[in-house]
Amino acid sequence: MDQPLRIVIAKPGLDGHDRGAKVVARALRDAGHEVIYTGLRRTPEQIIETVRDEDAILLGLSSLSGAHGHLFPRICETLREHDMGDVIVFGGGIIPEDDWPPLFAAGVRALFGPGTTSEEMVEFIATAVKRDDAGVGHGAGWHWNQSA
Amino acid sequence: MMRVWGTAQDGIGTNQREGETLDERFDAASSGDRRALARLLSSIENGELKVEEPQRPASDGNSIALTGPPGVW
Amino acid sequence: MLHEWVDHGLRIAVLAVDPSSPRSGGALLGDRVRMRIVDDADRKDSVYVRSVATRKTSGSVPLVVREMAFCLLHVGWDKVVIETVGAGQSEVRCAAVADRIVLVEGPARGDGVQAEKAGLLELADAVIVNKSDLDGAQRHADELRESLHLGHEDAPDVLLVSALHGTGVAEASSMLLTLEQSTRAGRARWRERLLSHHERQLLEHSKFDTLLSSIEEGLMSFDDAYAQLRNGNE
Repeated sequence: MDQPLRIVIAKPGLDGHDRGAKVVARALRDAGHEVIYTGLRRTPEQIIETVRDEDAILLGLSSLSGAHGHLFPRICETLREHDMGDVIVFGGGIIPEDDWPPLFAAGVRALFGPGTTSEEMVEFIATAVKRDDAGVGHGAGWHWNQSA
Repeated sequence: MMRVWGTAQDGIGTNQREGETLDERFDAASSGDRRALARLLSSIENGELKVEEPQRPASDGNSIALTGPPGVW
Repeated sequence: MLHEWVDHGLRIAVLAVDPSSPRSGGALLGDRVRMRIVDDADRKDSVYVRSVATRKTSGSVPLVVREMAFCLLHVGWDKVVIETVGAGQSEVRCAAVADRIVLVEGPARGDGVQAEKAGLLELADAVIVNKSDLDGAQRHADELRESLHLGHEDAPDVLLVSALHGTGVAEASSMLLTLEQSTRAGRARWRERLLSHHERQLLEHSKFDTLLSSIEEGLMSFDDAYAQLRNGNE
C-alpha cells in the first residue's frame, strides 16, 4: 500500500469556528490520510512552521472570516520564500467565487465551498499529488475548480 | 555510534532532493535545517531509511516516554 | 515541563504518537494543539514537535519511534520526549523504547489501580499524578505508591503536580532530568523491545500477507505458516 499522505489543516485568521475544518480533517482521515490539525487562529508563520516540522505535502486552509484575501496569498508566498514550493495548498470555507482568481494566481490549487463532498476533496488530493506542477512553487497555473 | 543505511532502491527514498546525499541531509539536519530533519524522519517512518542501534545502547536518559490515560495533561 | 527544560538551555524534540484508524489507515494528529510552546517566539527554536501515527502495522511503530529518537539525538537534540496516550499494548511498546519511562496519571476515579495499568506501572521509572488541585489526586498517589511497593524494594517515586497552577512542575522537571533507570523496569523494558522486534520481523516478511491468506483459506496449517515466517525472507 502507498504511504498515507501527511496533510496539515489550518485555520488562519481570527474567526473562532472550526467545525468545518474538523469535518474536513475527519473526512481526510477516513480516506486514509494523516491529518495534523493546528487549532484556531494561527498566524501564517505558525502554519508554515507546522508544515515544515511535520513534513506535510498538503496544506488545507480554512477561512470563514473573509481573511482569505490577504492571508492565503501571504501563506503561499511565505512557503516559496522558505524553499517549500513543493507543498500543495488548497482552501475551503466561505469564499465568494469573485475572490477565486487572485487566490488561484497566488498558487492555491483548489477552493471548496460549504457544499463540497469529501469524495471531491479526496479526488482532488489524489490528482494533485500525481502532478508535478501542483506545488505552490509553480505559482499560477493548474487548478482543480472548473469555473473562475 | 549510529549506523544508517537506505533500503529504497534509489538510495534514500522519495523525499530526497535531487543530488543530495545522505551525509548532506544529516549535515543539514544537524546544522538546524528543520525541513531536512523532518524529511529524514519521514524516510525512517516510511521504512526507506534504517537506523541501527548501537550494540550496547547508552541508557543516558536522553529519551523519555511520557505516557498515560487520555485527558490527564 | 518543556518550558522548564528549554529555560535550562536544553533543545527538546517531542514525538507525539497517536493511533491510526485500523479501518482507513488514516489518522488525526492533534497533539500539537496542546503544545503552545511551539508558538512561543523565544522558545520555539529549542523545541521540535513531530506527530507520529501508529499506521497499519502497529507492531513496527515502536521500532520506528526508536529509530526516529536516535536520529534526533544524533543530529544534536538534547532530549527526546516520546508522548503516548492510552494504556494499550501499542502505547506500552512505544514507551518501552525510551531510556526513561514516566507514567502520567490523573486523580483517582474511584476504581483503584486498574489491571490494565499494570504493564505500564511495571515499566515506569517515575509516576506523576497531575491535577493535584483536584479532589482525589492525593488519594490516587497513595494508591499508586501502595501498589508499586508491593514486593518491590526500589519502587519509583510518585510526584504530585498541577500543570494548571504550575505547582510541583519545577520539581518534576528537574527530577526527570536526573532520573535513574530503575533496575526493576530494565527487564520489563527489554522484554517489550524483544517482542516489538519479533513482531516487526514477522510483519516485514515478504510472504506475510500470502501466508496469512493461506491460513485463512485453510491451505496451510498455522504452525507451518509460522515456521515459514520465522525462517525469514529467502
